[in-house]
Amino acid sequence: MEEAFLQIVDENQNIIHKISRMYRDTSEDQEDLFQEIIFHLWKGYPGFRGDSKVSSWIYRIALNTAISTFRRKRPDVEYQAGIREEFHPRQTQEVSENEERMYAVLRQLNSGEKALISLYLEDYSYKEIASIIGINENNVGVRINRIKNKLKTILNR
Amino acid sequence: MELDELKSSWKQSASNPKSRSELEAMTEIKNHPKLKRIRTKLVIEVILLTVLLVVYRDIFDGVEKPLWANVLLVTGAVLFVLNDIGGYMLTKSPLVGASIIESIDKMSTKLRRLSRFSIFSMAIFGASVILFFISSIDMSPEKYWIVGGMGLTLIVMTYMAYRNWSMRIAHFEQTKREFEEI
Repeated sequence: MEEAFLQIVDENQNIIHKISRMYRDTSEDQEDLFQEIIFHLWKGYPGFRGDSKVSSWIYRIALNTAISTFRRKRPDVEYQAGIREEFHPRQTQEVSENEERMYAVLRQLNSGEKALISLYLEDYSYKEIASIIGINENNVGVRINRIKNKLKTILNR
Repeated sequence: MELDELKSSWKQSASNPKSRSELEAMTEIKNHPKLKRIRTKLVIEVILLTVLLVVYRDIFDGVEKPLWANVLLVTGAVLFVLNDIGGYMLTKSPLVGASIIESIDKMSTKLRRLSRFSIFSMAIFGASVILFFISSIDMSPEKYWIVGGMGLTLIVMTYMAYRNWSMRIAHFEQTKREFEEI
C-alpha cells in the first residue's frame, strides 16, 4: 500500500507544492504545510476508494489541510507590482518572478476564494469544483466570476 | 500580469520535487511539524504532573490534607493530561468529509467539544491546586489576599484560554462563510 501511495503522491506532488505556496507566505510555513498535507493524505489513503480522480482527492485533502490549520494572523504584505517590474532578469528568473507575482496576487484572496480559483486555474469543471467544495454548480460559476473581477482589480492596481 | 498569464503561470508553476524517501518520511507521525511540538509539550507536562503526584504527599503534606482535596488534585491533573491527549488526537486524526465544507463542519464540531473540555479541565486543575493548598491551613487576612490573587490569576488564565479557543472556532466559522456567501 505504501509503495502505491508514494507513487501517487510523487506523480501529483506539484499540486501540494502549489497549495502550500498559495496558502503560506514563508518557505518554512510552506514546508510545514507540505508535510502536514502528505501526512493527512497518508492517513486518508485507506479510505480513498477511487470514486473520484486521484488529483481531485489530493486537492480536497490539501485544501482541507491548508484551511483547517489555524494560524495567528500575521500582518498582510501588500503586493507591489512596480517593485518587481524594475528588474530585467534572465529568462529562468523571469519565470520564477512571474510565479512569485502570481502567488503574491493569489495570497490576497481569502481562503474560500483561493480554493475555488486554484481548482479553476487547474481546469476543473464547475461540476467537479462543486463536488470538491460542497456547493452547487451555479454558485461555483457566480463565485468564480466574482473572483476573476477581484483578481483583475488587484492586477490593475 | 493578466488573467491568462496568471493561468499559464499556475500551470507552469513547479517547485523542487521531493524524493520518494523524503515523501515517505513525511508520512510518519514523528516528523509531523505540529504533532512534534504537541508531543514535546505533552511529554513535559506528563512528566511534571507525574512528579507532582508522586511527591506531593510528602512535600506538600498530602497525608494531612482531607481526602476530597487529594482526590480533587489527582482528578484535576488527570483531566489536564486528558485534554492534552485530546488535542494531540484531534491534530492527528484524518480530515474526513466528502467535501471541504463538510470537513470544516466536522472539524468545527470537534473543536467546540475539545474547547469546552479544555477550558473545563484547566479551570478544575487550577481550582484543585488552590483548594489543595488551602484545605488545611488557618486562614489569615494576608492568606485571603494571596488566595484571592491566585483565584484572580486562574480566572484571567481561563478567560485567555476561552479567548484563544474562540479565535480558533471563529476562524472556522469565517472560512465556512467565505465558502457559502454568494
